[in-house]
Amino acid sequence: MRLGISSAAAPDLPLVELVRACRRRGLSALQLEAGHTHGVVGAARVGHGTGGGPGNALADTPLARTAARVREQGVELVGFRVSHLGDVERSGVLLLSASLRAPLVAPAATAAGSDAILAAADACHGAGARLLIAHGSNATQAAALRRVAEEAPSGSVALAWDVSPLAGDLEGDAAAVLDAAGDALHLIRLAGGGPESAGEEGRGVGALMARLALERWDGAIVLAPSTTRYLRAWSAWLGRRGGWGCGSKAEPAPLRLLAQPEATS
Amino acid sequence: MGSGSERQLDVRVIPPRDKHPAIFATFDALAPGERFVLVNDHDPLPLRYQFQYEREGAFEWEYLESGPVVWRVAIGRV
Repeated sequence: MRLGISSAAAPDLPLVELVRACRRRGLSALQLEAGHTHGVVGAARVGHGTGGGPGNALADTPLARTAARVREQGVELVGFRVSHLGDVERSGVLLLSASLRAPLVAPAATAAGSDAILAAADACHGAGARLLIAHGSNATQAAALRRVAEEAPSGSVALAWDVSPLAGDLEGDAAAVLDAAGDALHLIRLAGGGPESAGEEGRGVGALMARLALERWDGAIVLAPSTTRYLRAWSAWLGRRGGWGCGSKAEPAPLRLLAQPEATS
Repeated sequence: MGSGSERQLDVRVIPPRDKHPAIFATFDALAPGERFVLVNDHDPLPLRYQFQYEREGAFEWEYLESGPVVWRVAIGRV
């Protein structure tokens, strides 16, 4: 499991500063979102004259070199989020995903239906890109999207879960969402955490993390502000090291684990 | 969900008052001989003392990384 941030935590920072912030906080994952100041934009085309096949050409692009430098800093680009599924099929965006080796993340709410997702998946597959469909805290939706992912070319589509503890997303049937998404869940975008953690006490984040740990989940969790009102607090938090304490002086109630599906033989 | 090689509980995202309950819930769900790796942003010494008091003789504690930014501790159930 990797913990990181979304560029939404610092939408005005360039990529180099986002990476520095991750290193400062000991974070190893970074999701970029379209429209922020990070400076990573879609490639117009793959460069020529690099020799070898398309794979080699992709590896030699400025985007690929950027991604490699980021990885050398101990940070993995775990997604590039676009605002609309329709953005995925633009060639520049596809090349961006393939060059960065980071999946595109698109909100399920912007898909006209499963056919639209499958069309986007085909485009991704053809370009060597990957797609994560972002769903909310609805188990029925997660299950339906998982079925679509299973129909898509192998490895081209997986799921991302947008969850907001402050909105009560983990106080309902979070276990059902995890059960429904299953192995297709690769990314969780958690609205809150960081400087907002104290306000989320009792909202189910602990139970979520415990279940992910027990299941050996190896995806990425990226933190983003729950509202732009907290951007200043995020800026301060990203600018320094240190935590908020372990709460050892508190006398909290025992935590109840999120129910895991029963094993079937 | 996809399976990694080890159970990793990153408590940095858990609200302060909920951290120790999450850690103990994870520990108590382990079978004897199993372990998880705790990831924290400070040395979890108070937690170790709590384990010594509440789970005496039932746990193992091994530092895998000791800061200055991240601490990783393997906590095993005996």
